[in-house]
Amino acid sequence: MPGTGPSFADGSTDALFVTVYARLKAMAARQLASRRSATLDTTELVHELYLRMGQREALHFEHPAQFFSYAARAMRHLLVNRARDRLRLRAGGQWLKVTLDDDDLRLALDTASQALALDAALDALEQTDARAARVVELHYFAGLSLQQVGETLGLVRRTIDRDWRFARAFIKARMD
Amino acid sequence: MDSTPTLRELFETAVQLPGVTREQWLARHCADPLLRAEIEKLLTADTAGGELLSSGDAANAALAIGDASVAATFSAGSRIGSFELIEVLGEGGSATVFRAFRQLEGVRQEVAIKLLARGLYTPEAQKQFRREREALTRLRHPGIARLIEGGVTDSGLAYIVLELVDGQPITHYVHEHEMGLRQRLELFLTVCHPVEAAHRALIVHRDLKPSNVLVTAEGDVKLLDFGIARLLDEDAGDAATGALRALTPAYAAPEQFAQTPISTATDVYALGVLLGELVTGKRAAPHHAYASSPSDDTSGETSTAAATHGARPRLRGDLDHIVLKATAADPEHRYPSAGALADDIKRHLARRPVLAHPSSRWYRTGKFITRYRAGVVTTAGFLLAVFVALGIAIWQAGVAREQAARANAVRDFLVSVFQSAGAGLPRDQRPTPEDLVRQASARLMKKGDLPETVRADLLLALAKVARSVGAYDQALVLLDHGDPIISRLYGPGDAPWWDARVLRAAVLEDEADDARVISLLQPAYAGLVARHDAIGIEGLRVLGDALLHSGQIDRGLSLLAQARRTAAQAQLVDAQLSASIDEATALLDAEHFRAGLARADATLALWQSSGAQANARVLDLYESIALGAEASGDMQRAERAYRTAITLGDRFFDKPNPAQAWNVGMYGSFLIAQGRFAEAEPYATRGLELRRSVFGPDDSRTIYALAGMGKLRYGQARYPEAVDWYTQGIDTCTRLAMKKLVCPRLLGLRSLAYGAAGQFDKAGVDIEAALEAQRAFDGDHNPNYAYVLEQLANLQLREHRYNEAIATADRVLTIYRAARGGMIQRELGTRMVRAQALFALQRNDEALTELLDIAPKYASMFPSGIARFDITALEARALAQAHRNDEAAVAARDALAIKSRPASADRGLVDELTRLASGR
Repeated sequence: MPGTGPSFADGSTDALFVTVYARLKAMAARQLASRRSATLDTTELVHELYLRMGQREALHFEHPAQFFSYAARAMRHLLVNRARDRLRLRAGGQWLKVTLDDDDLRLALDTASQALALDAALDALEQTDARAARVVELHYFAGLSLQQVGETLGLVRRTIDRDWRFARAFIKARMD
Repeated sequence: MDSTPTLRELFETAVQLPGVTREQWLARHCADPLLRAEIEKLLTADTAGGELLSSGDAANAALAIGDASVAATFSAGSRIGSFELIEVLGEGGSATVFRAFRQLEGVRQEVAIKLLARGLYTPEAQKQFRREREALTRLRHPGIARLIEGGVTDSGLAYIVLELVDGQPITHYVHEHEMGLRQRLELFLTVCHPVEAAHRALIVHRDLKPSNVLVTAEGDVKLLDFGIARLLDEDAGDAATGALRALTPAYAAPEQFAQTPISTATDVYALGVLLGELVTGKRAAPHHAYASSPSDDTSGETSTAAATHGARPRLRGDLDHIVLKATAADPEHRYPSAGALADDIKRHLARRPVLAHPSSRWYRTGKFITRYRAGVVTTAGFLLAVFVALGIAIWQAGVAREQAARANAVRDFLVSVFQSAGAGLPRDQRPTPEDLVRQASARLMKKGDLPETVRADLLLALAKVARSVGAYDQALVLLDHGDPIISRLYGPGDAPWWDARVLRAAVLEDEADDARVISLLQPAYAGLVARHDAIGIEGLRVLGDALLHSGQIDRGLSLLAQARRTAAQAQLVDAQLSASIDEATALLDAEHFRAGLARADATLALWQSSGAQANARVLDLYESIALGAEASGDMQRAERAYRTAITLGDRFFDKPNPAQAWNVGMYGSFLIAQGRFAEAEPYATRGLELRRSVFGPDDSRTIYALAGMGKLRYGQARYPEAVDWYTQGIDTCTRLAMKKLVCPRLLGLRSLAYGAAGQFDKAGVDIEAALEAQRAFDGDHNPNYAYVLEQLANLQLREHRYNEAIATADRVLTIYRAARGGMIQRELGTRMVRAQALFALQRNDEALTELLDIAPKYASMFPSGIARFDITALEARALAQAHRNDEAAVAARDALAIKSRPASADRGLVDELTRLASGR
């Protein structure tokens, strides 16, 4: 079951935590590099998410699974919001000038559509097989290796591999 | 297989089979053509390679999509509907807000327009939006900013047009107008009324918070964004995922985090948080932060919003309960409506009993006796302590026949004491618990006609009470009187004989007289172990503590563990808790952080499952958790523990108390270390006051509080004041020839303050003295010495002696790293000094390597830590040096966005960051 059986060696959890945290921050912040103004204080956003997690799961260091799930969920939201923003700008028409060049813009729009499709497919997967959906979140969004996903969920590697294979097929089938 | 196989089962079997077999198998097992088609799609997808998204993993996908900000690309003069946009007022995740205007019959109407982040691309979505918008348009109340109109642009963008309100958040307003408690409450009532009106129209706000509760210059309350959260939220009907998207954590009710329905009770919760913030001037931490805090009322919710400071004590109890009821975790336990909340506040203002109190009978009595507070409350507390002590004494006597008669005699005696205690006296003349103990003792000494057994019971009971109120001298006097009687009546086979001995040891241990405790109990060790009862366990615990405090760590720890195990076997929960708390504290003190925190967790769990009331020992536990968590870098946990300890302490103690004096000061230092100076100020000040009154001016704990004040002023760049505070402490050290760790530290700290003020001569003298004093203490290779060395490194940095600073920092780091893992915070600080020196020496690559590693660690541990600005600013400059201009710009913007800047951040640095941020 989720949330039980964290089996990290003592030191590795902290290291993994720092990595995931940095990744979360990077996702939220890095793109600001080429923009004129920050839309929101991204570090603050990440902290808000982190704190929210911390407040809900008082034992976050004892149960790394909870933090990683939360971080993965947060990253998923960040990606979806970003995708929506991007598509909305396109929809906004003439009064919103888009400053990307054509190739970048095409990639951005494609990726944004894909990201929304992925989000929807993942919702569907959650209904069918909640654990497989968790594996996707931890692996794809939080960036944990399948091995680490197994450790986080307290499941053997073989189970995780099967979950991932099914999840991947399920999602890709729905994204076409 | 009997049941229909699932999609997954079909897929997993089929995927293993080779082509032709697979076809046949599927034909046999999957008759449903739709399911069959789905399986086929899955199998095809399985063979295709590649990532889930063509641009790679989630981070790369986010990068490819880029940041698409409406505000960034907005140009004035654009139109939405009939409105012309003027400027961007704000932008968040779910909407962008513009100031806009239109000419309506020759009048210029200014409005706020919210452009929603969600697109409304389907007819159903647009219909739903229209329906809800119409409901909101009908919501008319002078206290609610009106929704004027709304619509969907041709390109599918939804927008709503709102009354533009010129006001300030209610929390700022009450602060700026220096409103008293009563005025604040009356203002809050005018917030409840429109919420109630909206609720009657079945509209829930869902995101009430100060920035949505504005007060105009005329003093009128206007609520913004009523019901808008639902419009903003795409998944409004789907609480499972929707809840995350549009809420503000601090004000969000538990059901908004969980997957349960939102109702009007959700707004009641937010109102409760807001009320707490208005009356205390602080936002109460949300419930979830106190998952492990004690529950002391019937409804099972946790104690969170307890008003701390600011509210007058006379009013604190009621308001506390009103806030608690409004913010109950279970919506069922909250006020049924905003109106009901308002009514209770009105009752409170009229000084009538409020509904919120958990146990109403006691409460009404309490309300009645408030006028006699000092007298009645302390007497009740005293009685309770006496009965607890007596319960033990009589139970321990264990002679059933005699028991009833003795209990009656004891009770009669105590009743006579209380009758003479003067229930009719005016309150300022009523006796304190200490007075009562003294009166009872005096009376007992004079009373000649008591049987010796009863006298012995009473002496022991009163000695316990005396100890529990901190009257140690009196406890020892009572024991001195008791000893000859007990020796006459009892021997080493009887409980009272042991009870008296262990109690004496416990009092001596309270007075930190470790040597006498050891000489008293060490010879009795075997006897204590053999007892297997509460007295024996207490004896083991006290002896264990004494050994620990006198430096015999391993033996002390093993005794505490033995006490804990014996108590568990004997199922004596209180004794088990007590030993367990001491063990956790001792482990943490000995810097076994992981083991100590684990023991602390086990203790908390035991305490919670035991259903025991919170008491002063639990405060000790929270204090230990706070220290251990802080030392091992888990700052959120530390902060929760500090706050819980202080909240509990304010509840338990009417008077200044050692635990509270310690905790308040420690929390102040904790905040100072993170540079949260404004938050720290009240704690540091109160901590010093408390310690002066509890420990006296010459106690090392009071001197630590002086050091705290100095650090606070230092952090605020008020260096001469910092020097004054440190000097006060140093003078006491000198005057008393004190051998305490705080003394060398104070010298080191003062040297930093002198250094900051440019007085390097004085700084040099101080730091030399500090190092010398510290070395004399316990050598020069331990964290305490490293702490002073760290100050030297800082000083060298300030004097531009960069190479020396690096060498010193390296020494410090060697020591910290050899310590048992509790030095994360200090280590990061020292590495920052190192990085600064490297940067100054233009060893930029090395500085950058250090900084890129420090920054995320520090940020994750101290989200609002002051050094974040310094670290990020230096990171920006080092990146610029390395010509990594884009990253430098990001870092510079990050730095400029950090709100808690050190007072010493100079204009030049900010200018430089601003230049870097612009990408030039």
